[in-house]
Amino acid sequence: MDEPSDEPTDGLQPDHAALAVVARHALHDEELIAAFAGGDLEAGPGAERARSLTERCAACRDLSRDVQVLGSLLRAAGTAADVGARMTAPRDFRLTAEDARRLGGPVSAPGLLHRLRASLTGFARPLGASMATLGVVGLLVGSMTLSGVAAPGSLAIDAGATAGAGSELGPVTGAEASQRVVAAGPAATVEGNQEDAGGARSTTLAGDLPFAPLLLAGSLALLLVGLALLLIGLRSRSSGKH
Amino acid sequence: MEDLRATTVSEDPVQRRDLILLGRAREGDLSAFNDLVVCYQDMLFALVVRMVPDRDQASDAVQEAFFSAYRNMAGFRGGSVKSWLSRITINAAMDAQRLKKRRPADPYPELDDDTWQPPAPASADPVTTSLTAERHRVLNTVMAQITHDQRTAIVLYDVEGYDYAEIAEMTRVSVGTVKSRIHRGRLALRSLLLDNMELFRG
Repeated sequence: MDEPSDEPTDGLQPDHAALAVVARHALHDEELIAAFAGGDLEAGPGAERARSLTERCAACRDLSRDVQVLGSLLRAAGTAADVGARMTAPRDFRLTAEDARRLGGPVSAPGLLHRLRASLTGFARPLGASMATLGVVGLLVGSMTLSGVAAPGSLAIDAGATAGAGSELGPVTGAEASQRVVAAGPAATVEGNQEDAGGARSTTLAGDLPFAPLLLAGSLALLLVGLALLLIGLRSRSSGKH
Repeated sequence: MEDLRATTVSEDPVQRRDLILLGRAREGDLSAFNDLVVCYQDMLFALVVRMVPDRDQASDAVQEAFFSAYRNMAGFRGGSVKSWLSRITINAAMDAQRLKKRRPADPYPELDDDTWQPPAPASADPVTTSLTAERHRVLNTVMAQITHDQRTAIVLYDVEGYDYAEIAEMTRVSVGTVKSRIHRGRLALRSLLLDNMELFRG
C-alpha cells in the first residue's frame, strides 16, 4: 500500500493535520520500521516498503531515528566485560569445600571411589541387617533339614500317613520303601527308616536332598556379607560423628 | 582425563590460563576452579544484572551458574572458557527470569546501580557527563520494564554483540523469534521513553 506523504495535510488546521499524520501512521508497520532502523532488513520488498514509509511519514521517520539513537545508546553502555572491569560483584561467588562436595564436581578416580563408598554406606546397614537375618534363617533351616529334625506336628502326620500307606500296600522292597518315603518328605523319611528299612537309610536320604548343603552354603555367605555390610555401615556412621 | 591444553592450543594468554585452571579443576582442584570464579564473577554479574534487574536475584543466578559450571566441567569440550561460562550464566539468568515470571507479585526494586553507565571519557565536560549519566539512568529504568524475553534479546544482541543464531541457540527459540523480540523490545523502549526522547535526541 503506497502511503501518501505528509503533503495531503496541507490546507487543514494544524491540529487536524497532526491528527491526520497520527491516524495514517497508526496503519504503518512499526516493527518493520524498527527492523529497518536496526539494519536487519535485507534488500527486498520489506526494505523498500520501510524506506518508503520513513521517507513519506514523519512519525515513521521519528521512530526510525529514535530506534537508531536507542541502539547506539545501548551499544555505548559497554559489554559485560567492560562493565565488569569497573564494578565489583556484590558477593564472593567462590565455592566452599562443602559446596564442592554437595555438587559432586569432577569425576576423578578417587572422587568416584569416594562417591561409591558414600552411596554404599547409605544403605549398608539396613541391607546388611536384612542379609544377616536371612543368612541365620537359612542356616537354621538348612541344618534342621540336614540333621533330619523337623516340626513335631508334621512329623507325626507324615509318619502316620507313611505307616498307613505301608500297611495298605503290603510288604515292599527296600528300594520301593525308599521312593515312597522320599515322596512323603523328610519327616516321613525318619519314621519310614526306623520302621521299614533300618537306621542306615537316614544318611542315604539326606544325600538325596542336594538343596540342603546349597542352602547352608548360601545362607552362610549371606550371613557373612550381611555382617560385613553391617560393620561398614556402623564404622562409617561412627566416623561421620567425629 | 582429556587434557584440554593439548586439544585446544591457544595463543591468547587469558584463554591459556583459563584452560589450565579448568584442567586442574577437572582433576579435583577446587582452588583452581575458584581462581576462575574470581576472574569472571564481576563480568558475569554485570551480564546478569542487565537481564535480571533485581540484584539479589542476579547474584543468585550467578552463584547458580558457577554451581552448574562446577557440576558440568566434564562437559566442557574446548574452546573459550569465558564463552562457556557466559552461556551457562545466561541460562541461569533466564531460569531466574522464568522464576520471576511465576512470582509476579515480587516487583523489581528501584534500580540505582550504574551497570548501564558507560565510562565517562577523561576529556568529557561536566555537562556532557551529566547528560550521559541521566540518559543511562532513564534507559536503566525502562529496560527493567520491558518483558524479560525482549530484555534478554536486546542485551545479548545490542550490548553483548552476539548474533541472531547464537541468541536463538542460547534462548532455544527460532532466529525469527529472536529478531521479533529485539524489534518489539526496541519499540517498547521507545514507547516507554516517548516523553523523554528529547533527552536522547539532542
